[in-house]
Amino acid sequence: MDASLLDVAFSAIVTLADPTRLAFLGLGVIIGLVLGVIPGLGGLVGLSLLLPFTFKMDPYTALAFLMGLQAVVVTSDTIPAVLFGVPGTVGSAATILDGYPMARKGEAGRAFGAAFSSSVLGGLFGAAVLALSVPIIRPIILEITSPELLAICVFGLSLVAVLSGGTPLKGLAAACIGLMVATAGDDPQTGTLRWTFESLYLYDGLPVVPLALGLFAIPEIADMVITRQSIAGNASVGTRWAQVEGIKDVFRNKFLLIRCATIGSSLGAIPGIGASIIDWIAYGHAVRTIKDSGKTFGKGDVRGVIASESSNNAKEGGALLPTIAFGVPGSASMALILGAFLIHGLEPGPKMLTQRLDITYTLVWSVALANILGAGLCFLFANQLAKIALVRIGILAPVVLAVTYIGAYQGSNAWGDLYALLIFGFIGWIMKRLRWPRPPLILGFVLGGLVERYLFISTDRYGWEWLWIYREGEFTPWVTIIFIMTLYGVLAPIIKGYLRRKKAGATGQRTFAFQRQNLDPSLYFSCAVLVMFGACVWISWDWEFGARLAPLVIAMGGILFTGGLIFTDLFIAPPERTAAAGPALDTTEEARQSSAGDAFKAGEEDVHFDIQADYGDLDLKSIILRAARYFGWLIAFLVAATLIGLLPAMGLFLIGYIRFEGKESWKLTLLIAVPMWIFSYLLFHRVLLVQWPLTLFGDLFPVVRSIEPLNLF
Amino acid sequence: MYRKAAPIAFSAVLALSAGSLAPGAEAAGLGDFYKDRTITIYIGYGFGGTYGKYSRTMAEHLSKHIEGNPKIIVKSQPGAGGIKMTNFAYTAMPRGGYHWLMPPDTTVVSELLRPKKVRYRAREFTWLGSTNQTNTILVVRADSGVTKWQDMKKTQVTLGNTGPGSTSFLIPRMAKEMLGLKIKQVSGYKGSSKTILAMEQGEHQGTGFNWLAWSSKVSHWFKPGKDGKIFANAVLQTGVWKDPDLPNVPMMRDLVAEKHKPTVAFMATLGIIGRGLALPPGVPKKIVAPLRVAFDKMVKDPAYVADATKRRLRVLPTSGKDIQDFVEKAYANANPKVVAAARKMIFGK
Repeated sequence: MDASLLDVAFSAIVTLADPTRLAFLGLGVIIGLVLGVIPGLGGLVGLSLLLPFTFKMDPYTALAFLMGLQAVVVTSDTIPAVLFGVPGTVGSAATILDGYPMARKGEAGRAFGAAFSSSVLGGLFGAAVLALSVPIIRPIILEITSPELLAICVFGLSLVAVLSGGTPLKGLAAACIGLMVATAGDDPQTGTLRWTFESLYLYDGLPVVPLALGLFAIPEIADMVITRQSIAGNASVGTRWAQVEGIKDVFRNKFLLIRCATIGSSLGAIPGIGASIIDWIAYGHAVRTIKDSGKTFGKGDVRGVIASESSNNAKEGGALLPTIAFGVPGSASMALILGAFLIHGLEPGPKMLTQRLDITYTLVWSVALANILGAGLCFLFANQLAKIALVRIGILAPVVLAVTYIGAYQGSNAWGDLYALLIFGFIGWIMKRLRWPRPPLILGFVLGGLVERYLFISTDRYGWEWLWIYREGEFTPWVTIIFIMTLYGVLAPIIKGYLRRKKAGATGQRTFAFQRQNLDPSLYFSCAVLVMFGACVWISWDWEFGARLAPLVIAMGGILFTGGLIFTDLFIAPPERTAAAGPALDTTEEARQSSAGDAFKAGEEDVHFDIQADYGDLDLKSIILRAARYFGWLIAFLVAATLIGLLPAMGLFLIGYIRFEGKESWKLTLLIAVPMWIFSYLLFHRVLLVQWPLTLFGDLFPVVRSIEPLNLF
Repeated sequence: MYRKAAPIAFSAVLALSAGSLAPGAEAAGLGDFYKDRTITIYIGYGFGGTYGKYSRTMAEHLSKHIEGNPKIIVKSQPGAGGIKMTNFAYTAMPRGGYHWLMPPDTTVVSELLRPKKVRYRAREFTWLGSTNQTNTILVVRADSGVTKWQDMKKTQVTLGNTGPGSTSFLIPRMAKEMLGLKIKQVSGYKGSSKTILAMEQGEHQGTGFNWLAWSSKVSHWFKPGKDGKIFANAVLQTGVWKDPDLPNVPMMRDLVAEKHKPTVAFMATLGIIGRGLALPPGVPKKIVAPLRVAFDKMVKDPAYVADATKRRLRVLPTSGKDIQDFVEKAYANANPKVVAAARKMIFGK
């Protein structure tokens, strides 16, 4: 950085140090933290709300206010992820895998300590990357065209192989489910409406919020309810020292933090990659590079939390780069920041990197200060928040569920959001129970649309030349380099594993025989998935070529993987394990499930990168009965919502569940339900101006829709 | 108090007099209709784009021109390129006059070209007026060798778009078919910003968006750069009236053969609908004329114009009556044969 840049950077912090600006930055941070904690809400909602208030501010104050909010949403979204296994925003979905098991072990404090310090350091790293790359960013971004984006997305998708852990066939099939769901909507090539079922809801594809909340939140709460335990069970939640332990963890893993922050800020800077995959890529990277990660990751390893949290805060600094340099927002939230630029007469583009550097560095400092302030506040309250893990489940479950419902509804303000939440909630619960890893599904979902989009643009534009190192006579090596990296990442572990097994001598001889004992729910679920893929082939066969290509390829893959899974389940006997590799001839269901469908990893550790169901000594009948009651309540909530509106139904649900299912006293029930309802009414109806779904009550008495305070129906 | 009361009284008198002048309107104006009430404006997109910015700027300024000074709020119901909100407005929006919409500029085009998704009848909305005109402007990189539309008769260009059904697809496709231009299209970019970035990267050479999108994002493209060269040129526009910033860019309706004119005319509704306000069907008739007057007053109000300009929003107003007439005319001209031909030309089916 030359002297003039340093001058500008210094004068920018002087500008920002104005007390009014700092106060607005602080206010932005507080609002951002609150929004991050509430599942479904995030920077987008906050910025939409605050944008009009910035119209009359000067540009420095306005941007400090908005960036203050945006930068810290991904700090506090860790809190529900760790405490309940519910992602606060989609950017923290990967935090759940290790953060939540830590909370269950009574290590919520340590998880928070690690998460918040990773967040602030990641955020500062992102701000530094932003500051340093300002002079050189334009030529770099100009190099990243559709073929490069495609290669990066394929690389992201290849992490499915890692995140599938010890059950590759299940992981690959789950990824195919995600990829298939991602093809729903108005196809950008031909305009064919795929899997929309004549409804406008799926026209733009399924929103990620109800999918992520369904896959992770609903099953976690289900298992809490089934085991009837508070989150931390009988474990204590630790003290403030636990947080210090978490901070120490981060410093012990500083190179991991730097690597993941680099992933976050550089992928964040590429427009068209999207926030929802960055935490997964960082997590996948950690799994891949840390020795013996298979033994501890997914079971409460603090390094999983560090990887995810450092990357998602670092991306905010990166995401500003294309917004500033080209006016191309990397995300929907950045589109609002861009809106603020234009409102204040700032035109993104080359000038922002020369004449308006003052603004650019104001952004840098805003991101840095907001991260420090945000993490500081989180540290201050984390100890109190960690105690939530001890709250009785009869109270906690309905409160978290109610917020999850309303959060999922923010996906696109449609009934479809709630149906999707329930459907994926049920699928997620079954997957968790049957040890199908869920991360590959969500990774497939968020990358599926992008891969298809960039593949079509690349081949449309360049034919097959996009794969080559020369494109239209120009040297374009990046696609090749990224593909080689991808191939190495996928093949190296397989080859190494093969060589290791060969060296150790063949353990776990497999024999072919009909496995009658495997005719069970796990097999039936695989069969259902197989039928679903078959139906996809059947339906998409008649679509135009451009529309059917991706669904057909995905469905064929899905059929191959689930077919393989069913075959091995039915006809291949589990391996005989050596004493060193595991209990010999372990015929329990757990052991069978971990080996089923996996002919490649005989004798290896039980590797599973997902939270596992632990029902203690509960018998199957009790589990099913309690699960049925739980899903019954969820359906009742939905039915009540269609009759009297989502917000009124939420009040009834809270009271009904806490009083009759949680068996709390009327006094306590009302003490929780009433303030909670009033808070939700004020926040969602009065402040966020949420457009509620239409209900039977409103159809019968349309007059209520004309009176704004009552327009809940 | 005094400062606030004066403009209210002033606008009430004006609204009253205008109401009495408007044929068929009730002379009494609005009276207490909006007193202590809230008007909700629905937009079919998120708040980040121009629908969000225009609607919120109007929400701030319109109230003082409406008798009773109602509170005005904006709600966003995004999805399906605005069709979701417009369907809602037609089928389920309360008819009391307190719920309005900012129709997508593609309202008429979508109804005619994508009938399966649309559950509304655009001509049944009552337009109050529009504050911006959104002609689609075809812009092509200068290094492609194209500086005027005729060059594309000889020189092949690749144009990017955000998907079939979007204006960035429709208008270049019409130009290709109706004017015999050598255009290859690449579909599927996510949003206007990324399409424009891909154009800068050289992945494609041009596309069609409204002038506000071009001028707010890449105004430097149209002025000579350090090397004295212009990066890109506006070569063609579609709309009802020429964009005042682009007097030398030809209108497509002036170039096409007679048989294509009805198709071009209903595509031109895009430009005139722009960013405006409308009422759902079935609202009390008496409110229409006073509200149109209020809208016209707002777009002339120097405070509104100043705020809009400060926020980089253009003010190119069209009256509600003019929009209504053009929408009617577009329907009258777009008989089923014309629409079928347009659909075949654009979608090939």
